[in-house]
Amino acid sequence: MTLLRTEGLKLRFGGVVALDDVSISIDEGEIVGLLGPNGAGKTTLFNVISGLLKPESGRIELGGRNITRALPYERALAGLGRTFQHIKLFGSHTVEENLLAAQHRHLSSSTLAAMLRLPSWRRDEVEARRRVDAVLELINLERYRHHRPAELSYGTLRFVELAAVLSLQPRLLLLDEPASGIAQREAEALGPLLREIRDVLGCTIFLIEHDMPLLLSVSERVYALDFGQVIAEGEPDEVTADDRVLSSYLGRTRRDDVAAR
Amino acid sequence: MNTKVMAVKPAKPAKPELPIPGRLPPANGTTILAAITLGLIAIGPLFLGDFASFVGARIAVTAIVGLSIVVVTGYTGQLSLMPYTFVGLGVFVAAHAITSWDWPFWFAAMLAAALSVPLSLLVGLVSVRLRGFYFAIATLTFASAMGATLFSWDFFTGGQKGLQVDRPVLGPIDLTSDRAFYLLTLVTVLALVWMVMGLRESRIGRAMTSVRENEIAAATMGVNVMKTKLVAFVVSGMIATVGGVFQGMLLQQVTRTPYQTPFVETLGVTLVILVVVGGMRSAWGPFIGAALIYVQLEVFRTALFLQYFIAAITAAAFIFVLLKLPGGVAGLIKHEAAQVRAAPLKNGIRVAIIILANVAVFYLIWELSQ
Amino acid sequence: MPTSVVLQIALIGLAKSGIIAMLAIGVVLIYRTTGVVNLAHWAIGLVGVVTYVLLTGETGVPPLLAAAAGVAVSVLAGALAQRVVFSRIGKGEAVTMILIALGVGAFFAAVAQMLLRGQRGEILVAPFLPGETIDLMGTVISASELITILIAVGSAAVLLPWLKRSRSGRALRAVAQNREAAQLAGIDSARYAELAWMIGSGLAGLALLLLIPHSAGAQGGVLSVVHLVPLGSLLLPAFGAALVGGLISLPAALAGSLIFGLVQELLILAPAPISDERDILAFVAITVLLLLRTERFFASNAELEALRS
Repeated sequence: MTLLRTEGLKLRFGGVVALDDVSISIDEGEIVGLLGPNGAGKTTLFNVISGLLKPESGRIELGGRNITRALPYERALAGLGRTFQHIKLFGSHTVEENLLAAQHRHLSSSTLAAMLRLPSWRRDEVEARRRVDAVLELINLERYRHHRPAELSYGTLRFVELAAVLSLQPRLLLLDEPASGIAQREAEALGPLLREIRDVLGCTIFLIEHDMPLLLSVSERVYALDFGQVIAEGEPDEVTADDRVLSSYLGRTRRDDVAAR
Repeated sequence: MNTKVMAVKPAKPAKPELPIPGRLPPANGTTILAAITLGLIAIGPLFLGDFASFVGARIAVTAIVGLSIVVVTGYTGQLSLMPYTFVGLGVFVAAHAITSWDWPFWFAAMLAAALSVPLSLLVGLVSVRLRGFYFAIATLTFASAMGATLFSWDFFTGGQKGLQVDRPVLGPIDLTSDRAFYLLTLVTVLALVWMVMGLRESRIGRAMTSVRENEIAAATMGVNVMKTKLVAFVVSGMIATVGGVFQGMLLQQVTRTPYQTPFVETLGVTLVILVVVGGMRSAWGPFIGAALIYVQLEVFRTALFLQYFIAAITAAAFIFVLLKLPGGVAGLIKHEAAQVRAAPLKNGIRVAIIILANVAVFYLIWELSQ
Repeated sequence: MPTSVVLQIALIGLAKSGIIAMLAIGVVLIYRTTGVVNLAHWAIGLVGVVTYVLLTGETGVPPLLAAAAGVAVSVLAGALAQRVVFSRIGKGEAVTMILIALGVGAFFAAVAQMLLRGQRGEILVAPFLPGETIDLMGTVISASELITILIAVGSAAVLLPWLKRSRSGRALRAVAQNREAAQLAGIDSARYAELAWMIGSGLAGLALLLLIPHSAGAQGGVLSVVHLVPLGSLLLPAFGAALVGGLISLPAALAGSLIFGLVQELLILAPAPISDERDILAFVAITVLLLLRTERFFASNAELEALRS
């Protein structure tokens, strides 16, 4: 079953074409990679899918529902979770509070219930903390529960951000360079972890990643983007062998740089 | 599908001690001692006489109004410059409802809170789209507009003479004396602190703090930013209005002047300052800030020069807190308490010396001013 | 309505516009160079006024000299605020920035009241402008209003070309456009930020000094110490005027000053519901300006980025 479908997304910044007729489709339970050189429009596509940018034309569907005009928070409530290239965690919150803050999708107690501490509020809070326990155990962050972001290393923060967006329990998870800035050993552990997340939580994953070995090993299918256009789509091996994909990298980076990848 | 998720990977069985907020921490020696000390300080004014009780009531009332700033500024990160507009609404609704119509005070408080909702919705719907100083200037503009309309209407404010507000009598219990009224305000402010603490530890409260930290990240986590700001503004307005009802009963004779020119009349600014110094991200902050400042102001009430000196020092302290100590005094106390718990002897003595030194300086200034 | 009455009202309005304009220029200059929305503007002017009051009241310094000293003290206060407080704020939350501006304002207001030694009630203030009235072809106008208008026009006439042409003025504008780029071009942006604060604060002091009641002539006017209402009441219109230019454009801020002074005053002549609710109309106008986010009309995207960063 198709979970995410975009049709003909188009967006320009001034005269620059950022997205040009981007149509992609992701099935439920897939792990799909998005590759392309810098400035190809990868993050722009994520921003359009998550609603931070408005496309000039085109259509976005999530789980069969048209969300083209939905606001970012409405998409989150519909089950869309995302991380950012530059980590956006709530600085004055502890790890636990960051994870609790991401659970709006599942909680419903009212302002009055909270102020009077009615049973509905209590049920919500207990449930929210159970979910935090489960996610912290899955990502193995239990020992950082009461730390604040400023006290943690950048690599750990990547995992905290992942944990936060997982406690939203998204149906579709958009990961923008989850391995950037983390140590090699942690990056190697990320692949199996992403698969485990998919298997255990059943969420579909769409990721941008510059670490090619990681991207190619974890993805079951890959889209390649250049100048805002989808230039190739298919199994990782096929796409990396595609002439246009190779030349898109060669056009902008040195040959040995690509060879090294 | 989401229900299935938990089924696939069942959460750990509930721990015997789930960290549920609102549950009292297990009582040990230190907490019992602290509770007894605070309790004694709280009922202290009752033994010190009517004037001390009046000051205590003033602190409690200011803390109620300050809680409104905690919700909208401390939690949600929006600076409202119109808290005293809501206070004024409460004051004059109290004057009409309690004195003219003979309503019980709690009924008047509910009416005032209800009346604040249309006002805060009107202001909120216009200004929640604005951020930072645009929001602040918008609220300042509305405060001025209310000063030129609502608070200039003689039938509402009683003109130059002002209006009378009676203190309540609850059946056989007479709350008109300063001591009894102090107890009433103390109970009220404690109840409101408890409520605001509950709010903080809830879906809504976490939405508020996320909006304060980063609106975009909050939105991608499913927070409706506009609605959250609006809820914060409405809740804050209701609290400030209830504070106004008590302010009216505290003063008993009320005039419109403080509410007509909101910015120039530095009341609103003073309130923001004491909340920030006390700790605007903690529900106890306004209480601590109000106590710190009003005790000083009342002790030195005859020495006007000292009063303004205190005001200048407080403003400087306010800037310092904003730059270096975002948690305010409440945060400092929390931090020091943790230190004392970690090393009772060493840090306990240090903290005791600091407190004693402060008291000594305070006493010295008092002696000199007499 | 006789023309002379209209003229009289127009002159009162123009004088008000002038004072608003002087405040608004300071607000714009400070915002452009440092990104601070200066809610302390009023209080910084106030210390100048208090200096004037003290000097004329007790030491018998000639009023004009005392007024100059008052402006100097405001300049000093502004420089102090920038150097001690605002230069230390990094890229923080917007709310912290406004709160700090409020705190600086409260500090100077408290200092001003401390300097007055906590006198309550009303104090007599000697005027430094002549209190006479001039008969100008049947229109009776007060000399102080005329002088206020002249000073306001004069400061705008000096400041705008100076900003455009002189070396310092150009550097100041470069800092206003993009702090980092100016720094890279070898302009000491900290120094020019301070210069902007000094000019703005001096104008605030001058504006509030002109607000001292001169009407009572040689006997001096009466100033209410506790409320200082007449001195603070023009700050909001000044922000309104600055908002016309999105807090960025000086010419637009001057035009805004005309709206919030002259036009508002002339509305007295309008039919009943409008003339009674002039104040409310001003508030509505400010709210509309806030919602319009007028800065985008006056600044390029690059400038906006620089201002926000």
